[in-house]
Amino acid sequence: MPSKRFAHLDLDNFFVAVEERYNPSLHGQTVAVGGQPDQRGVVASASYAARARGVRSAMPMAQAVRLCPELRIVPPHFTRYQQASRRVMEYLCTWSPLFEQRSVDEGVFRIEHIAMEKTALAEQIQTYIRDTLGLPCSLGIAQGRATAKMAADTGKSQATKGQPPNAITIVPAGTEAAFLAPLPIDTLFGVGPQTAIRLRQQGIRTISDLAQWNDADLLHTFGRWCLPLAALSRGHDTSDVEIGRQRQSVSQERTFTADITDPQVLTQQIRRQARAVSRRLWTLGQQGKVVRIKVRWADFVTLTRQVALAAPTYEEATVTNAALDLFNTLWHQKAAPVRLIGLGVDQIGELTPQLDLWQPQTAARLTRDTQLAATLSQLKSRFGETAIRWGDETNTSHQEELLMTTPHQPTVTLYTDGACRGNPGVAGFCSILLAGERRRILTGGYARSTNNRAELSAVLLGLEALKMPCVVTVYTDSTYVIAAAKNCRELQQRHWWQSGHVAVPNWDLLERLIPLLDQHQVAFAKVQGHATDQLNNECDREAVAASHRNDWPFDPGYGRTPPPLPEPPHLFE
Amino acid sequence: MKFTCKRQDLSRGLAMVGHAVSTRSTLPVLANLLVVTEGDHVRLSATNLELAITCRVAARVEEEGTTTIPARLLTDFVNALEAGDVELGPLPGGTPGVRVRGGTSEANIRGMDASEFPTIPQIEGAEQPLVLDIGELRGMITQTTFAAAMDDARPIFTAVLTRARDGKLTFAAADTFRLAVRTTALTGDVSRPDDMLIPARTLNELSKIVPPEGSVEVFTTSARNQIVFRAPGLEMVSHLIEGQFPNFDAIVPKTLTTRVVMPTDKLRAAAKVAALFAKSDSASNTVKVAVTPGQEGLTPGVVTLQATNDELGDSTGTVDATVDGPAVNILFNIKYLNDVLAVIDTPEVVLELNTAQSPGLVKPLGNDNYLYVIMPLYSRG
Repeated sequence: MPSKRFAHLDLDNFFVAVEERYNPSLHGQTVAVGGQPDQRGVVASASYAARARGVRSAMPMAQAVRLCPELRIVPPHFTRYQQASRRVMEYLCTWSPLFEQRSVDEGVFRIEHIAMEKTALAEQIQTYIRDTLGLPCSLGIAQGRATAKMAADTGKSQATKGQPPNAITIVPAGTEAAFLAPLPIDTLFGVGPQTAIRLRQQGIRTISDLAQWNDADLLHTFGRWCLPLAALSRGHDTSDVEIGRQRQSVSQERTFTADITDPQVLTQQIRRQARAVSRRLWTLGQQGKVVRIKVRWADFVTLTRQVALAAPTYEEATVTNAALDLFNTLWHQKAAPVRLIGLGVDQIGELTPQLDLWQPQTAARLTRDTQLAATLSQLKSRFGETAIRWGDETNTSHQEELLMTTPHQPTVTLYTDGACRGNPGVAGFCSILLAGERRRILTGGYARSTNNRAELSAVLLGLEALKMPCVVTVYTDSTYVIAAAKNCRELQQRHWWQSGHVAVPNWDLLERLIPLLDQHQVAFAKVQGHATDQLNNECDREAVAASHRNDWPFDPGYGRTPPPLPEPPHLFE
Repeated sequence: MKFTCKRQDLSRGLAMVGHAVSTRSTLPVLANLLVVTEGDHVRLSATNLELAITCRVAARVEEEGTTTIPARLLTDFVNALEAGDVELGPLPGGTPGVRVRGGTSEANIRGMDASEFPTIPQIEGAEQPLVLDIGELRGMITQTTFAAAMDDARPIFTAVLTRARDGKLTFAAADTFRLAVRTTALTGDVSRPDDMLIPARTLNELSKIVPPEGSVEVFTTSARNQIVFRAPGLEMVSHLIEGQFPNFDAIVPKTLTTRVVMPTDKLRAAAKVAALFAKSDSASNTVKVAVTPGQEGLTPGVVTLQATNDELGDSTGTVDATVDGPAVNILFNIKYLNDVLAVIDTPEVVLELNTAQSPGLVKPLGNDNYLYVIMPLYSRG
């Protein structure tokens, strides 16, 4: 069998290199691409000059600035990186059909068919990418995909500090074991930090230490997972490029600007992520069987929890419910400030949802959605990722969001109360808004309504008065309001009918509440009614006063039932 | 309480009531069975509160009485005895339980007081019972219950809709993805104004315990919330599920453009092979069914079943068929296809289709009493 040869290409310091092309004054400076330090931004990529000062990727930007006060912080431009990456990868594809893109700045391809001296080949590729595309890169060439990557990494790490490495490292066939032998164990492909710790505990510090163990001892000491690593350490690299590698999962995560303690804010974030993930699945034409959430607490302890669904899905509601169940279980175990929350759908495959006998219109909806997805992706491939967006999508992609974190949102406190003379009877309600030093009192009423409607109307009055997305805490003495806010989405999904035949009371008000809960980060807090809370008491007085006025209009929604449930339509409609 | 009976008779009775014993209930007495002497026989009863089974075992009663005994232990003990007489008598000192003696063994089995056992309704029908042939009933159960939903998310779909009207008895079950409907002729005027929703689990248990032949009387309680099945020496009472089963006539496709007739065993074999590959973590047990019409007088029509699994590989099954109508490519959950092929007992089977997104119909050829509607998986093709 003719031996395989692989070239692994790694763009040196990719994000910074791209930024330098747009702004040459950055060249040679201490530069970090990432989020702002006062917004808990993270370093995505640091220039070599900055690295020489100790700045590293994934380091909090605040720490980077402490290490290097003159650091120039550049906000990330992901579209630029994607464009540059695409041009590099397209060029590499011209060298070999057996090409695999491993990440935005890494690609690996087979080169045994190229009748060129390998160093000359590597130099030609490197020169082209530097001169034509303006980006430095390093290459590693070896007999297996993993070894080629390790060769490239080793070349980069041995370069002069403060300079782009532009390294070329070639491992001649048969010398793999000798090449790897002196390298530290954590540079072995497939060895992560946890594995490295376990191996070091047994005295394995370099790759040759591992190569010297026999399989029986490894099996006994570590387990089966260690055998492929050992084979690799001995130079037996059987890894190959994976062409058309299937995407295994779709996920999203977010680091908060400030640690979040309010479970309502967290569940809202999960809902948003579920929506985004479900849309992404749908755009990809995929469905998934496993829903997973990831929670990182303020102490950096990170847990993931997952659940297998009964049937694969892409539906937002199913993903949301599964994720919320997982979250509630986790939260029950550890209700502590949360730094990061993430949601993913795994084990994904082609989207073939099972149609329902009594919902034949689903097929038509899916067809419409599929056509829309195709149109969207055409638009995006022609005009770029940002050409078209969902109406409720923020202006940043989720990657950007990760680094940039949340924009500043004003914090508002809302005291609400409703009163009703007779139930039903004349209703009055009041909302006190507190934002910083500012304070507003809003009142309203209805000639004939109920107590619960008055309580809900008070909340709506306050929330609808907000002019921009806010972080809101609503204080109410109504248990009903808290329960209704918690359950309203589920009730809406049932079209406001419980058990199929009982109308959900005050559904019209809840329908107004849901978009407000989406728009703002709302948390509800219960206060004891008619007790010591001054603001609640004031609110109560205003509401009672309002209920004594006789000029209120009639409540248009009082006594109205929700639209009837759709009849199961005929199959051949 | 003291009586003697044949070991075989007792074993058979214990096996029957064992189907209603609940071992995981929070009510410990439900793991027991109730024994009551009644003249020339004893009555054994067990219940899991959803369904109760009572059977009679011929016995020579020396002393009337009643008690409850752990069902599993008594059954295992009696099964371990050699053939012959078994004598059950009281435990010394009046403790609840029995002393069982048979062959070379004797055991004292502790029980619980009979007063703790739930009352099993003794029901006389408020109406004339339906009389059903056991063979026919068992066939109806086999051909429908598998299509009912397994989970309790929507209780009505765990039931088999039972309708006695116009001289016809209809069983229908659906889990919203497929629907199985079986009918049989009724003798006599026994129409019922209301449909009944019998739990599919109840019917499955019934099918296991009724004698191989004979007939079963079926009636509901006057409150219409319970149903009783009565065969010689055996009575089963079950609750009925409340609710409205959706109109199933409306979803049975009336006009179909492609009709395929195939040998049942050939299609069954191809579907079994496809199932080996259709099982996958991410997809929905998808099998791709391609129906290709033949050319008249030249080639037969063909149905191919294709299944692909990213890790395992793929398979293709090809079945010659008589195809009337245009070609169709459609995706099914292979389980839904296999389930129905397992219960079709005619040599040839009919598959009728419209489009890739509309329901298909499966029927035994030459038998109008059964049909199965199967909803496809959505395909983007």
